[in-house]
Amino acid sequence: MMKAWLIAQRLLWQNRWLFLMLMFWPYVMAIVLCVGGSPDPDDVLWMLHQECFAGLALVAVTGSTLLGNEHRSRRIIMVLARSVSRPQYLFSLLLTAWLPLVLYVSGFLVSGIVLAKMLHSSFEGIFVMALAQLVLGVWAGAVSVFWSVLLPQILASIVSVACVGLAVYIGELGMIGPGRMLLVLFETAISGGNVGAAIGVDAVLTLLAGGVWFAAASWTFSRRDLNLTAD
Amino acid sequence: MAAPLEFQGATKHFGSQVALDHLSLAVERGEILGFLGPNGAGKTTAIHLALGFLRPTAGGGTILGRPFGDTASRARIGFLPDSPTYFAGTASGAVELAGRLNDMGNPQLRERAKSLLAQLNLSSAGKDARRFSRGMQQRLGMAQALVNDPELLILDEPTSALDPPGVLEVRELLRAARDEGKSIFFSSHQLSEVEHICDRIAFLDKGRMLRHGPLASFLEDSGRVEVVTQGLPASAEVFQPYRLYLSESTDGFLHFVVPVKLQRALIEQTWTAGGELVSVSPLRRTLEDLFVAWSGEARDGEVPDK
Repeated sequence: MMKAWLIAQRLLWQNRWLFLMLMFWPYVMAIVLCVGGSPDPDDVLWMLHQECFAGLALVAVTGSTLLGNEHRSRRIIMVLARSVSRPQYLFSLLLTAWLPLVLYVSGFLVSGIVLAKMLHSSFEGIFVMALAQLVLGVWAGAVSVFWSVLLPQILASIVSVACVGLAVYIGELGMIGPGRMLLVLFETAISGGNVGAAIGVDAVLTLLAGGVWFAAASWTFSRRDLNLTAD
Repeated sequence: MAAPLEFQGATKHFGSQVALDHLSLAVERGEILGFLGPNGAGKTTAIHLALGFLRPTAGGGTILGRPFGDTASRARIGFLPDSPTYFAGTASGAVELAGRLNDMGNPQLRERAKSLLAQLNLSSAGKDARRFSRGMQQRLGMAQALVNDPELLILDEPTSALDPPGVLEVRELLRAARDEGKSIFFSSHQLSEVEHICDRIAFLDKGRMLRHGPLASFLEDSGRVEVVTQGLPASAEVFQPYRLYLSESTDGFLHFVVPVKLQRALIEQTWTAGGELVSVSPLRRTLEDLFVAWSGEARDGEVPDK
């Protein structure tokens, strides 16, 4: 855990400007909505749902590109030549993909609460959406890390985002776990209406699903060659 | 006791290309083994197999008594790749990261990092290791490789980007490491460097090991001697059979480079004809001669038995 954190710290620092910029995205969107005076409640809700999807897409794209970047820069061999196992290394990538979401969600939370206040609405739904994003972020991160082990960066990003979209469809069919959790994310009202009763179970199942994807990624990565140009 | 690094029939294919073909080789405790071969010979592939970056197609090997790729044993290994790359951050940060990833902790780590950076002239290096010159990056990689006081050092072209003082510093470090009983597996194209510090060499081409053994035995065994005579002209009748071997003629001194089996006849005939013998010296081959000859053999398909 400690080693994964040490590596993740370096990777986060490496991409710090991009992540900080993304953190401000919810504020920028909130300002855009407020430019014409008091924002429309439907517009605010629509924007919050879009931001939720953007947060997950951020994790999916980051998670699916990190491994390829580290291969290309060959920094991966400077890490894996030390006493670091492949699962530890992948866990550091998962942390690197997920932790910026925490920053992003903090922006989402603050800007969302401000907008809810402007609409004179309660903002329980903002908290539900924020927590759902963080839980789903673990799952989306694990899915994207899995695909990054098997596919080139661009394909891995497309497939990871497609997996998130597919999970929404599966959720509509009444499936539990990440699918229904995604529906929670996209159907919750600002005041907290429409939140399913089984959200706690779905959150646990989503984390478990993330664990399964991560285990599959670790198992696969431990049995594969690093993609290095050999002499 | 098991050899610190042992390849046991290690084979690696990339699709239809054979990168390494049944490599069997052991690095003994307290020795420096030079791993030589032209580009594409399979040297880096062998190193990557040992460190677990690649999985063998067949065979395998052990590193510090554990199978290739074992995570725990890597804490006792130092590795320097041919082109080290770094995260953003200082030189001391990079060395401390390598130490921490090898289970080291402070204050021992900080002290060790400081002393290594001083030894490698990196104490006053700039803030971002990514922007160091290639030579500095290589020295920093060496500090990372040595930070955990490893039992086995695996170095891929460790001096390729260094200036002459840098080469000397690294040479001294490696000699000191060997004197402390560490084993060093050293891949290089810099043959003079290999000649200076290696105890044994292994020569690889097209994935196959063509030669291996003590360096001294290869260098001494040229099979030729230089015979210098005086007092007879090069046109003398006695030298007719040796004209092909005459390499130099200056100030009355004739230099013949002859196969060992001809030296006795040449010397006796010189004396009989009234000439003088100035010197007889066995010719020492350079590693460069050997490298070229072995590469040529491999090209011509004259691959000797291992």
